[in-house]
Amino acid sequence: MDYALSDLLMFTPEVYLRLFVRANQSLGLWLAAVVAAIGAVALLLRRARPAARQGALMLVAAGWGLTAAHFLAQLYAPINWPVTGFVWAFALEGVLLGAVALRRPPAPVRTSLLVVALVALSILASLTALAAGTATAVALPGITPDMTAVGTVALLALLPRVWRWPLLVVPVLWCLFSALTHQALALWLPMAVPGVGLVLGAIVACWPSRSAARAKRQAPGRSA
Amino acid sequence: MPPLDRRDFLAGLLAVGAMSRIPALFAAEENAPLTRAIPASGETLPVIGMGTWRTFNVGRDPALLDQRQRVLETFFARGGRLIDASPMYGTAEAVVGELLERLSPDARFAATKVWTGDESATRESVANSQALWRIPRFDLMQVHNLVGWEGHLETLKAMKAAGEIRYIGITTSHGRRHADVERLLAREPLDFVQLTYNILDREAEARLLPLAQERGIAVIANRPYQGGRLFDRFQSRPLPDWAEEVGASNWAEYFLKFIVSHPALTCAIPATTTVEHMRENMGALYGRLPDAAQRQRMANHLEDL
Repeated sequence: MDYALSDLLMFTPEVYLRLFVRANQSLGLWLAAVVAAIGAVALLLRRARPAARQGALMLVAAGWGLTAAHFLAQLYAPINWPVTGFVWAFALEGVLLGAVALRRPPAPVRTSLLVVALVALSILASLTALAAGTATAVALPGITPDMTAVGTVALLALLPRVWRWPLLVVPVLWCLFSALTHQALALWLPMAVPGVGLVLGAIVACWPSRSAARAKRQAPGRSA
Repeated sequence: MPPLDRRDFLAGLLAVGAMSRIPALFAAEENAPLTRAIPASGETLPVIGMGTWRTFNVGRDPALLDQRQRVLETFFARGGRLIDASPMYGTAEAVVGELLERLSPDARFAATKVWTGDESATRESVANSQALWRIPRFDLMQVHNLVGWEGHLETLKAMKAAGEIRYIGITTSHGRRHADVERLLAREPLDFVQLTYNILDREAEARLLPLAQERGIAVIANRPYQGGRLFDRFQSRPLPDWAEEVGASNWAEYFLKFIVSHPALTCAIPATTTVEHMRENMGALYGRLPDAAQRQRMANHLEDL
Protein backbone atom coordinates (compact mmCIF):
# COMPACT_ATOMS: atom_id res chain seq x y z
CA MET A 1 0.00 0.00 0.00
CA ASP A 2 1.86 3.03 -1.24
CA TYR A 3 0.72 6.42 -2.38
CA ALA A 4 0.37 6.76 -6.14
CA LEU A 5 0.62 10.17 -7.77
CA SER A 6 -3.13 10.02 -8.43
CA ASP A 7 -3.79 9.60 -4.69
CA LEU A 8 -2.49 13.11 -4.12
CA LEU A 9 -5.08 14.68 -6.39
CA MET A 10 -8.44 15.57 -4.92
CA PHE A 11 -10.44 15.86 -8.15
CA THR A 12 -11.34 13.78 -11.18
CA PRO A 13 -10.52 14.30 -14.89
CA GLU A 14 -14.18 15.15 -15.47
CA VAL A 15 -14.02 18.06 -13.02
CA TYR A 16 -10.70 19.27 -14.48
CA LEU A 17 -11.97 19.33 -18.07
CA ARG A 18 -15.13 21.10 -16.98
CA LEU A 19 -12.93 24.00 -15.83
CA PHE A 20 -12.21 24.85 -19.47
CA VAL A 21 -15.90 24.79 -20.40
CA ARG A 22 -16.75 26.99 -17.43
CA ALA A 23 -13.88 29.41 -18.13
CA ASN A 24 -15.11 29.95 -21.69
CA GLN A 25 -18.79 30.11 -20.74
CA SER A 26 -18.32 32.55 -17.90
CA LEU A 27 -16.41 35.01 -20.07
CA GLY A 28 -19.36 35.31 -22.45
CA LEU A 29 -18.76 38.05 -25.02
CA TRP A 30 -15.36 38.80 -23.49
CA LEU A 31 -14.23 35.56 -25.10
CA ALA A 32 -14.43 37.32 -28.47
CA ALA A 33 -12.24 40.09 -27.05
CA VAL A 34 -9.64 37.51 -25.99
CA VAL A 35 -9.64 35.92 -29.46
CA ALA A 36 -9.24 39.39 -30.97
CA ALA A 37 -6.37 40.10 -28.58
CA ILE A 38 -4.61 36.88 -29.66
CA GLY A 39 -4.93 38.00 -33.28
CA ALA A 40 -3.71 41.46 -32.34
CA VAL A 41 -0.58 40.01 -30.66
CA ALA A 42 0.25 38.15 -33.89
CA LEU A 43 -0.27 41.21 -36.05
CA LEU A 44 1.68 43.54 -33.76
CA LEU A 45 4.65 41.19 -33.65
CA ARG A 46 5.07 41.59 -37.42
CA ARG A 47 5.37 45.34 -37.21
CA ALA A 48 8.72 47.05 -37.60
CA ARG A 49 7.74 49.80 -35.15
CA PRO A 50 9.06 48.87 -31.67
CA ALA A 51 6.02 50.37 -29.93
CA ALA A 52 3.74 47.91 -31.74
CA ARG A 53 5.77 44.95 -30.53
CA GLN A 54 5.89 46.40 -27.03
CA GLY A 55 2.09 46.58 -27.24
CA ALA A 56 2.02 42.86 -28.14
CA LEU A 57 4.03 42.03 -25.04
CA MET A 58 1.70 44.16 -22.92
CA LEU A 59 -1.27 42.18 -24.22
CA VAL A 60 0.49 38.94 -23.28
CA ALA A 61 1.15 40.37 -19.81
CA ALA A 62 -2.57 41.14 -19.50
CA GLY A 63 -3.30 37.53 -20.46
CA TRP A 64 -1.26 36.34 -17.49
CA GLY A 65 -3.26 38.62 -15.23
CA LEU A 66 -6.57 37.38 -16.62
CA THR A 67 -5.52 33.75 -16.32
CA ALA A 68 -4.45 34.31 -12.70
CA ALA A 69 -7.60 36.17 -11.68
CA HIS A 70 -10.16 34.09 -13.55
CA PHE A 71 -9.12 30.53 -14.38
CA LEU A 72 -6.67 29.95 -11.54
CA ALA A 73 -8.14 31.95 -8.64
CA GLN A 74 -11.84 31.48 -9.31
CA LEU A 75 -12.06 28.05 -10.89
CA TYR A 76 -8.97 25.94 -10.33
CA ALA A 77 -7.61 26.90 -6.88
CA PRO A 78 -10.84 25.96 -5.01
CA ILE A 79 -10.50 22.34 -6.12
CA ASN A 80 -6.70 22.10 -6.11
CA TRP A 81 -5.13 24.04 -3.25
CA PRO A 82 -1.47 24.11 -4.54
CA VAL A 83 -2.77 26.24 -7.41
CA THR A 84 -3.27 29.14 -4.96
CA GLY A 85 0.51 29.71 -4.99
CA PHE A 86 0.48 29.83 -8.78
CA VAL A 87 -2.17 32.55 -8.75
CA TRP A 88 0.44 34.91 -7.32
CA ALA A 89 3.19 33.52 -9.54
CA PHE A 90 1.07 34.19 -12.64
CA ALA A 91 0.30 37.71 -11.44
CA LEU A 92 4.03 38.28 -10.91
CA GLU A 93 4.83 36.99 -14.39
CA GLY A 94 2.26 39.41 -15.80
CA VAL A 95 3.92 42.30 -13.96
CA LEU A 96 7.39 41.22 -15.12
CA LEU A 97 6.28 40.92 -18.74
CA GLY A 98 4.68 44.35 -18.51
CA ALA A 99 7.88 45.82 -17.09
CA VAL A 100 9.97 44.23 -19.84
CA ALA A 101 7.52 45.48 -22.46
CA LEU A 102 8.13 49.04 -21.29
CA ARG A 103 11.88 48.72 -21.68
CA ARG A 104 12.56 46.33 -24.53
CA PRO A 105 10.42 45.34 -27.53
CA PRO A 106 10.60 41.77 -28.76
CA ALA A 107 12.26 41.25 -32.14
CA PRO A 108 9.94 41.38 -35.17
CA VAL A 109 8.73 38.05 -36.56
CA ARG A 110 8.36 36.88 -40.15
CA THR A 111 4.78 36.18 -41.26
CA SER A 112 5.56 32.59 -42.19
CA LEU A 113 6.88 31.91 -38.69
CA LEU A 114 3.81 33.50 -37.13
CA VAL A 115 1.50 31.33 -39.23
CA VAL A 116 3.36 28.20 -38.12
CA ALA A 117 3.14 29.31 -34.48
CA LEU A 118 -0.58 30.06 -34.72
CA VAL A 119 -1.32 26.71 -36.37
CA ALA A 120 0.68 24.90 -33.67
CA LEU A 121 -1.12 26.82 -30.91
CA SER A 122 -4.49 26.04 -32.51
CA ILE A 123 -3.71 22.33 -32.49
CA LEU A 124 -2.60 22.47 -28.86
CA ALA A 125 -5.69 24.51 -27.92
CA SER A 126 -7.97 21.81 -29.31
CA LEU A 127 -6.55 18.98 -27.18
CA THR A 128 -8.65 19.70 -24.07
CA ALA A 129 -11.70 19.96 -26.33
CA LEU A 130 -10.89 16.56 -27.82
CA ALA A 131 -10.37 15.03 -24.37
CA ALA A 132 -13.61 16.55 -23.04
CA GLY A 133 -15.59 15.65 -26.16
CA THR A 134 -16.89 19.20 -26.59
CA ALA A 135 -15.60 22.18 -28.54
CA THR A 136 -16.59 24.42 -25.63
CA ALA A 137 -13.59 23.04 -23.70
CA VAL A 138 -11.08 24.63 -26.08
CA ALA A 139 -8.11 26.09 -24.18
CA LEU A 140 -7.15 29.60 -25.26
CA PRO A 141 -3.93 31.45 -24.48
CA GLY A 142 -4.66 34.38 -22.21
CA ILE A 143 -7.41 32.47 -20.40
CA THR A 144 -6.04 29.03 -19.58
CA PRO A 145 -2.67 28.54 -17.87
CA ASP A 146 -1.03 25.86 -20.04
CA MET A 147 -1.69 27.68 -23.28
CA THR A 148 -0.70 31.03 -21.79
CA ALA A 149 2.58 29.50 -20.63
CA VAL A 150 3.34 27.80 -23.95
CA GLY A 151 2.51 30.89 -26.01
CA THR A 152 4.66 33.05 -23.75
CA VAL A 153 7.62 30.67 -23.83
CA ALA A 154 7.56 30.83 -27.64
CA LEU A 155 7.39 34.62 -27.50
CA LEU A 156 10.35 34.83 -25.13
CA ALA A 157 12.58 33.56 -27.96
CA LEU A 158 12.20 37.06 -29.40
CA LEU A 159 13.92 38.64 -26.40
CA PRO A 160 17.65 38.66 -25.61
CA ARG A 161 18.71 35.55 -23.71
CA VAL A 162 19.48 37.32 -20.42
CA TRP A 163 15.92 38.71 -20.38
CA ARG A 164 14.41 35.32 -21.09
CA TRP A 165 15.76 33.41 -18.13
CA PRO A 166 13.92 35.18 -15.31
CA LEU A 167 10.76 35.22 -17.42
CA LEU A 168 10.99 31.48 -18.08
CA VAL A 169 10.88 30.47 -14.41
CA VAL A 170 7.11 30.71 -13.85
CA PRO A 171 6.00 29.22 -17.20
CA VAL A 172 8.41 26.30 -16.88
CA LEU A 173 7.47 25.61 -13.25
CA TRP A 174 3.81 25.75 -14.21
CA CYS A 175 4.33 23.38 -17.15
CA LEU A 176 6.10 20.93 -14.84
CA PHE A 177 3.30 21.09 -12.28
CA SER A 178 0.67 20.79 -14.99
CA ALA A 179 2.38 17.87 -16.71
CA LEU A 180 2.44 15.95 -13.42
CA THR A 181 -1.21 16.80 -12.82
CA HIS A 182 -2.18 15.52 -16.26
CA GLN A 183 -0.17 12.37 -15.66
CA ALA A 184 -1.94 11.76 -12.35
CA LEU A 185 -5.29 12.29 -14.07
CA ALA A 186 -4.22 10.06 -16.98
CA LEU A 187 -5.17 12.86 -19.39
CA TRP A 188 -2.56 12.00 -21.96
CA LEU A 189 -3.79 14.11 -24.88
CA PRO A 190 -3.95 17.49 -23.09
CA MET A 191 -0.71 16.60 -21.31
CA ALA A 192 0.99 17.41 -24.62
CA VAL A 193 0.46 21.14 -23.94
CA PRO A 194 2.62 21.42 -20.79
CA GLY A 195 4.93 18.83 -22.37
CA VAL A 196 5.51 21.12 -25.35
CA GLY A 197 5.96 24.01 -22.90
CA LEU A 198 8.76 22.17 -21.12
CA VAL A 199 10.59 21.20 -24.31
CA LEU A 200 10.16 24.69 -25.75
CA GLY A 201 11.33 26.20 -22.45
CA ALA A 202 14.58 24.22 -22.60
CA ILE A 203 15.16 25.24 -26.21
CA VAL A 204 14.37 28.92 -25.64
CA ALA A 205 16.60 29.03 -22.55
CA CYS A 206 19.59 27.87 -24.65
CA TRP A 207 18.76 29.50 -27.99
CA PRO A 208 21.18 32.36 -28.77
CA SER A 209 19.90 35.92 -28.89
CA ARG A 210 19.15 37.24 -32.36
CA SER A 211 21.82 39.91 -32.11
CA ALA A 212 24.39 37.34 -30.99
CA ALA A 213 23.44 34.98 -33.79
CA ARG A 214 23.64 37.80 -36.32
CA ALA A 215 27.05 38.85 -35.02
CA LYS A 216 28.25 35.27 -35.24
CA ARG A 217 27.08 35.00 -38.83
CA GLN A 218 28.82 38.27 -39.74
CA ALA A 219 32.13 37.37 -38.03
CA PRO A 220 34.94 36.44 -40.49
CA GLY A 221 35.47 32.70 -40.67
CA ARG A 222 38.78 31.18 -39.78
CA SER A 223 40.89 30.44 -42.81
CA ALA A 224 43.30 27.59 -43.11
CA MET B 1 -71.24 -28.36 5.96
CA PRO B 2 -71.56 -27.44 9.64
CA PRO B 3 -72.52 -23.88 10.35
CA LEU B 4 -69.67 -21.51 11.17
CA ASP B 5 -69.92 -20.14 14.70
CA ARG B 6 -68.57 -16.75 15.75
CA ARG B 7 -65.47 -18.21 17.47
CA ASP B 8 -64.46 -20.18 14.37
CA PHE B 9 -65.11 -17.19 12.15
CA LEU B 10 -62.90 -14.91 14.27
CA ALA B 11 -60.17 -17.56 14.54
CA GLY B 12 -60.22 -17.99 10.78
CA LEU B 13 -60.04 -14.27 10.26
CA LEU B 14 -57.03 -14.05 12.57
CA ALA B 15 -55.30 -16.92 10.77
CA VAL B 16 -55.83 -15.38 7.34
CA GLY B 17 -54.61 -12.05 8.63
CA ALA B 18 -51.50 -13.60 10.15
CA MET B 19 -50.76 -15.58 7.00
CA SER B 20 -51.07 -12.50 4.88
CA ARG B 21 -48.44 -10.84 7.06
CA ILE B 22 -45.93 -13.68 6.79
CA PRO B 23 -44.64 -12.94 3.26
CA ALA B 24 -44.40 -9.27 4.20
CA LEU B 25 -42.40 -10.17 7.28
CA PHE B 26 -40.04 -12.28 5.19
CA ALA B 27 -39.85 -9.58 2.54
CA ALA B 28 -39.04 -7.00 5.17
CA GLU B 29 -36.21 -9.23 6.37
CA GLU B 30 -34.85 -9.56 2.80
CA ASN B 31 -35.17 -5.87 2.07
CA ALA B 32 -33.86 -4.54 5.36
CA PRO B 33 -30.51 -2.81 5.05
CA LEU B 34 -27.63 -4.54 6.77
CA THR B 35 -26.62 -2.59 9.84
CA ARG B 36 -24.00 -2.74 12.55
CA ALA B 37 -24.12 -1.24 16.01
CA ILE B 38 -21.66 1.45 17.06
CA PRO B 39 -20.18 -0.27 20.12
CA ALA B 40 -19.97 2.97 22.15
CA SER B 41 -23.71 3.61 21.99
CA GLY B 42 -25.53 0.68 20.41
CA GLU B 43 -26.84 3.04 17.70
CA THR B 44 -26.98 1.19 14.39
CA LEU B 45 -25.46 2.30 11.09
CA PRO B 46 -26.00 0.90 7.58
CA VAL B 47 -22.88 -1.04 6.63
CA ILE B 48 -22.40 0.98 3.45
CA GLY B 49 -21.65 4.68 3.77
CA MET B 50 -20.33 7.17 1.27
CA GLY B 51 -16.88 8.69 0.87
CA THR B 52 -16.33 12.00 -0.91
CA TRP B 53 -12.59 11.83 -1.68
CA ARG B 54 -12.07 13.17 -5.24
CA THR B 55 -15.71 12.59 -6.18
CA PHE B 56 -17.48 15.55 -4.55
CA ASN B 57 -14.77 18.17 -5.11
CA VAL B 58 -16.59 19.84 -8.00
CA GLY B 59 -16.30 23.49 -7.00
CA ARG B 60 -19.24 25.69 -7.98
CA ASP B 61 -19.90 23.89 -11.27
CA PRO B 62 -23.72 23.94 -11.58
CA ALA B 63 -23.91 20.96 -13.93
CA LEU B 64 -21.72 18.79 -11.72
CA LEU B 65 -23.55 19.92 -8.57
CA ASP B 66 -26.83 18.73 -10.07
CA GLN B 67 -25.23 15.45 -11.10
CA ARG B 68 -23.77 14.82 -7.63
CA GLN B 69 -27.18 15.66 -6.17
CA ARG B 70 -28.60 12.69 -8.09
CA VAL B 71 -25.81 10.48 -6.73
CA LEU B 72 -26.54 11.58 -3.16
CA GLU B 73 -30.26 11.19 -3.71
CA THR B 74 -29.70 7.58 -4.77
CA PHE B 75 -27.53 7.01 -1.70
CA PHE B 76 -30.28 8.14 0.67
CA ALA B 77 -33.06 6.44 -1.32
CA ARG B 78 -31.22 3.12 -1.03
CA GLY B 79 -30.86 3.43 2.72
CA GLY B 80 -27.47 5.13 3.14
CA ARG B 81 -26.75 7.41 6.08
CA LEU B 82 -23.04 7.95 6.79
CA ILE B 83 -21.24 10.53 4.64
CA ASP B 84 -17.54 11.07 5.24
CA ALA B 85 -15.50 14.07 4.09
CA SER B 86 -12.47 16.13 5.09
CA PRO B 87 -11.25 19.72 4.78
CA MET B 88 -8.46 18.17 2.71
CA TYR B 89 -10.88 17.30 -0.11
CA GLY B 90 -11.08 20.77 -1.66
CA THR B 91 -14.69 21.88 -2.03
CA ALA B 92 -16.20 18.51 -1.05
CA GLU B 93 -17.50 19.72 2.31
CA ALA B 94 -19.15 22.78 0.77
CA VAL B 95 -20.68 20.62 -1.97
CA VAL B 96 -22.05 18.10 0.54
CA GLY B 97 -23.44 21.00 2.60
CA GLU B 98 -25.24 22.51 -0.37
CA LEU B 99 -26.64 19.16 -1.47
CA LEU B 100 -27.78 18.20 2.03
CA GLU B 101 -29.67 21.47 2.19
CA ARG B 102 -31.27 20.75 -1.18
CA LEU B 103 -32.24 17.19 -0.27
CA SER B 104 -33.04 17.49 3.47
CA PRO B 105 -32.70 13.75 4.10
CA ASP B 106 -34.66 12.19 6.95
CA ALA B 107 -31.62 10.54 8.44
CA ARG B 108 -27.95 11.25 7.92
CA PHE B 109 -24.76 10.59 9.82
CA ALA B 110 -22.32 13.44 9.18
CA ALA B 111 -18.66 12.56 9.54
CA THR B 112 -15.71 14.75 8.74
CA LYS B 113 -12.18 15.39 9.97
CA VAL B 114 -9.89 17.91 11.54
CA TRP B 115 -6.96 18.37 9.18
CA THR B 116 -4.48 20.92 10.40
CA GLY B 117 -1.07 20.74 12.01
CA ASP B 118 -2.07 23.58 14.34
CA GLU B 119 -3.21 21.67 17.41
CA SER B 120 -4.85 24.74 18.88
CA ALA B 121 -7.14 25.18 15.85
CA THR B 122 -9.46 22.22 16.50
CA ARG B 123 -12.54 24.24 17.37
CA GLU B 124 -11.94 26.61 14.48
CA SER B 125 -11.67 23.66 12.08
CA VAL B 126 -14.87 22.06 13.42
CA ALA B 127 -16.73 25.40 13.20
CA ASN B 128 -15.51 25.93 9.66
CA SER B 129 -16.64 22.44 8.61
CA GLN B 130 -20.01 22.97 10.31
CA ALA B 131 -20.51 26.17 8.33
CA LEU B 132 -19.63 24.39 5.08
CA TRP B 133 -21.88 21.42 5.82
CA ARG B 134 -24.62 23.81 7.04
CA ILE B 135 -25.40 21.61 10.03
CA PRO B 136 -25.55 22.43 13.76
CA ARG B 137 -23.54 19.42 14.92
CA PHE B 138 -21.39 16.63 13.55
CA ASP B 139 -22.11 13.03 14.38
CA LEU B 140 -18.47 12.06 14.03
CA MET B 141 -15.32 14.17 14.08
CA GLN B 142 -12.04 12.42 13.30
CA VAL B 143 -8.40 13.44 13.39
CA HIS B 144 -7.27 13.16 9.76
CA ASN B 145 -4.26 10.86 9.30
CA LEU B 146 -3.25 11.56 12.93
CA VAL B 147 -2.13 15.08 11.95
CA GLY B 148 -1.67 16.97 15.24
CA TRP B 149 -3.59 14.24 17.05
CA GLU B 150 -2.47 15.08 20.60
CA GLY B 151 -3.96 18.55 20.74
CA HIS B 152 -6.94 17.73 18.54
CA LEU B 153 -7.98 14.67 20.52
CA GLU B 154 -7.95 16.54 23.81
CA THR B 155 -10.21 19.24 22.40
CA LEU B 156 -12.47 16.73 20.67
CA LYS B 157 -12.90 14.79 23.92
CA ALA B 158 -13.95 18.02 25.64
CA MET B 159 -16.33 18.87 22.79
CA LYS B 160 -17.88 15.41 22.98
CA ALA B 161 -18.33 15.74 26.75
CA ALA B 162 -20.06 19.08 26.18
CA GLY B 163 -22.36 17.50 23.58
CA GLU B 164 -20.92 19.54 20.71
CA ILE B 165 -20.12 16.39 18.73
CA ARG B 166 -21.49 12.88 19.19
CA TYR B 167 -18.53 10.62 18.45
CA ILE B 168 -14.79 11.05 18.03
CA GLY B 169 -12.24 9.07 16.09
CA ILE B 170 -8.94 8.93 14.24
CA THR B 171 -8.12 8.03 10.66
CA THR B 172 -5.28 6.64 8.61
CA SER B 173 -5.02 5.41 5.05
CA HIS B 174 -2.72 3.44 2.78
CA GLY B 175 -1.55 1.42 5.79
CA ARG B 176 0.37 4.40 7.22
CA ARG B 177 1.30 4.74 10.92
CA HIS B 178 -0.41 1.53 12.00
CA ALA B 179 1.83 1.31 15.07
CA ASP B 180 0.67 4.76 16.21
CA VAL B 181 -2.95 3.91 15.48
CA GLU B 182 -2.59 0.73 17.53
CA ARG B 183 -1.20 2.69 20.47
CA LEU B 184 -4.07 5.15 20.34
CA LEU B 185 -6.70 2.43 20.02
CA ALA B 186 -5.27 0.81 23.13
CA ARG B 187 -5.22 3.89 25.33
CA GLU B 188 -7.61 6.58 24.06
CA PRO B 189 -11.40 6.58 24.55
CA LEU B 190 -12.16 6.52 20.82
CA ASP B 191 -15.56 5.76 19.31
CA PHE B 192 -14.35 5.24 15.73
CA VAL B 193 -11.23 4.38 13.79
CA GLN B 194 -11.05 4.77 10.02
CA LEU B 195 -8.44 2.78 8.13
CA THR B 196 -7.71 1.25 4.76
CA TYR B 197 -9.16 -2.21 4.44
CA ASN B 198 -10.15 -4.04 1.29
CA ILE B 199 -9.93 -7.52 -0.17
CA LEU B 200 -6.29 -7.01 -1.20
CA ASP B 201 -5.09 -4.66 1.55
CA ARG B 202 -5.69 -6.73 4.66
CA GLU B 203 -2.87 -5.64 6.95
CA ALA B 204 -5.40 -4.31 9.47
CA GLU B 205 -6.69 -7.83 10.09
CA ALA B 206 -3.56 -8.77 12.01
CA ARG B 207 -3.74 -6.33 14.93
CA LEU B 208 -5.95 -3.27 14.39
CA LEU B 209 -9.27 -4.94 13.70
CA PRO B 210 -9.07 -7.41 16.61
CA LEU B 211 -7.97 -4.59 18.92
CA ALA B 212 -10.82 -2.31 17.78
CA GLN B 213 -13.26 -5.15 18.36
CA GLU B 214 -11.84 -5.85 21.80
CA ARG B 215 -11.92 -2.17 22.79
CA GLY B 216 -15.43 -1.59 21.41
CA ILE B 217 -14.38 0.85 18.70
CA ALA B 218 -16.38 1.14 15.49
CA VAL B 219 -14.36 0.67 12.28
CA ILE B 220 -14.85 2.54 8.99
CA ALA B 221 -13.04 1.06 5.98
CA ASN B 222 -11.72 3.60 3.48
CA ARG B 223 -10.36 2.84 0.00
CA PRO B 224 -12.64 -0.21 -0.32
CA TYR B 225 -11.80 -0.43 -4.04
CA GLN B 226 -8.13 0.57 -3.64
CA GLY B 227 -8.95 3.95 -5.15
CA GLY B 228 -10.63 2.20 -8.12
CA ARG B 229 -7.73 -0.10 -8.90
CA LEU B 230 -9.66 -3.24 -7.97
CA PHE B 231 -12.04 -2.54 -10.84
CA ASP B 232 -9.15 -1.86 -13.21
CA ARG B 233 -7.73 -5.27 -12.36
CA PHE B 234 -10.80 -7.47 -12.10
CA GLN B 235 -13.81 -5.88 -13.77
CA SER B 236 -13.09 -7.44 -17.14
CA ARG B 237 -13.20 -10.92 -15.51
CA PRO B 238 -16.48 -12.74 -14.93
CA LEU B 239 -17.69 -13.17 -11.37
CA PRO B 240 -17.18 -16.71 -10.04
CA ASP B 241 -20.13 -19.09 -10.40
CA TRP B 242 -20.60 -19.12 -6.64
CA ALA B 243 -20.83 -15.30 -6.29
CA GLU B 244 -24.58 -15.50 -5.59
CA GLU B 245 -23.81 -17.70 -2.57
CA VAL B 246 -21.91 -14.81 -0.98
CA GLY B 247 -24.61 -12.32 -1.93
CA ALA B 248 -22.71 -10.65 -4.77
CA SER B 249 -24.27 -9.96 -8.16
CA ASN B 250 -21.49 -7.64 -9.37
CA TRP B 251 -17.87 -6.85 -8.50
CA ALA B 252 -18.82 -3.85 -6.33
CA GLU B 253 -20.91 -6.10 -4.10
CA TYR B 254 -18.18 -8.72 -4.11
CA PHE B 255 -15.54 -6.24 -2.87
CA LEU B 256 -17.82 -4.48 -0.37
CA LYS B 257 -19.40 -7.59 1.11
CA PHE B 258 -15.97 -9.02 1.74
CA ILE B 259 -15.15 -5.92 3.80
CA VAL B 260 -18.33 -5.50 5.81
CA SER B 261 -18.58 -9.21 6.61
CA HIS B 262 -15.53 -8.89 8.84
CA PRO B 263 -16.96 -8.97 12.37
CA ALA B 264 -14.97 -5.92 13.50
CA LEU B 265 -16.20 -3.70 10.65
CA THR B 266 -18.95 -1.15 11.09
CA CYS B 267 -19.13 0.24 7.58
CA ALA B 268 -17.28 0.80 4.30
CA ILE B 269 -17.28 4.15 2.52
CA PRO B 270 -16.98 3.74 -1.26
CA ALA B 271 -16.95 6.96 -3.30
CA THR B 272 -18.42 7.43 -6.74
CA THR B 273 -19.42 10.08 -9.26
CA THR B 274 -22.21 8.18 -11.00
CA VAL B 275 -25.73 7.11 -10.07
CA GLU B 276 -25.18 3.72 -11.66
CA HIS B 277 -22.15 3.00 -9.49
CA MET B 278 -23.95 4.30 -6.41
CA ARG B 279 -26.74 1.78 -7.08
CA GLU B 280 -24.15 -0.98 -7.32
CA ASN B 281 -22.47 0.16 -4.10
CA MET B 282 -25.76 0.27 -2.25
CA GLY B 283 -26.58 -3.22 -3.48
CA ALA B 284 -24.06 -4.42 -0.90
CA LEU B 285 -26.32 -3.04 1.81
CA TYR B 286 -28.82 -5.84 1.22
CA GLY B 287 -28.96 -9.60 1.11
CA ARG B 288 -26.66 -12.15 2.65
CA LEU B 289 -23.09 -11.72 3.77
CA PRO B 290 -20.35 -14.30 3.36
CA ASP B 291 -19.25 -16.34 6.37
CA ALA B 292 -15.60 -16.83 7.37
CA ALA B 293 -15.02 -19.77 5.00
CA GLN B 294 -16.65 -17.93 2.12
CA ARG B 295 -14.53 -14.82 2.81
CA GLN B 296 -11.42 -16.92 2.50
CA ARG B 297 -12.71 -18.36 -0.75
CA MET B 298 -13.38 -14.83 -2.06
CA ALA B 299 -9.84 -13.69 -1.26
CA ASN B 300 -8.29 -16.88 -2.69
CA HIS B 301 -10.25 -16.45 -5.89
CA LEU B 302 -8.75 -13.01 -6.53
CA GLU B 303 -5.27 -14.29 -5.77
CA ASP B 304 -5.78 -16.98 -8.42
CA LEU B 305 -6.90 -14.50 -11.08
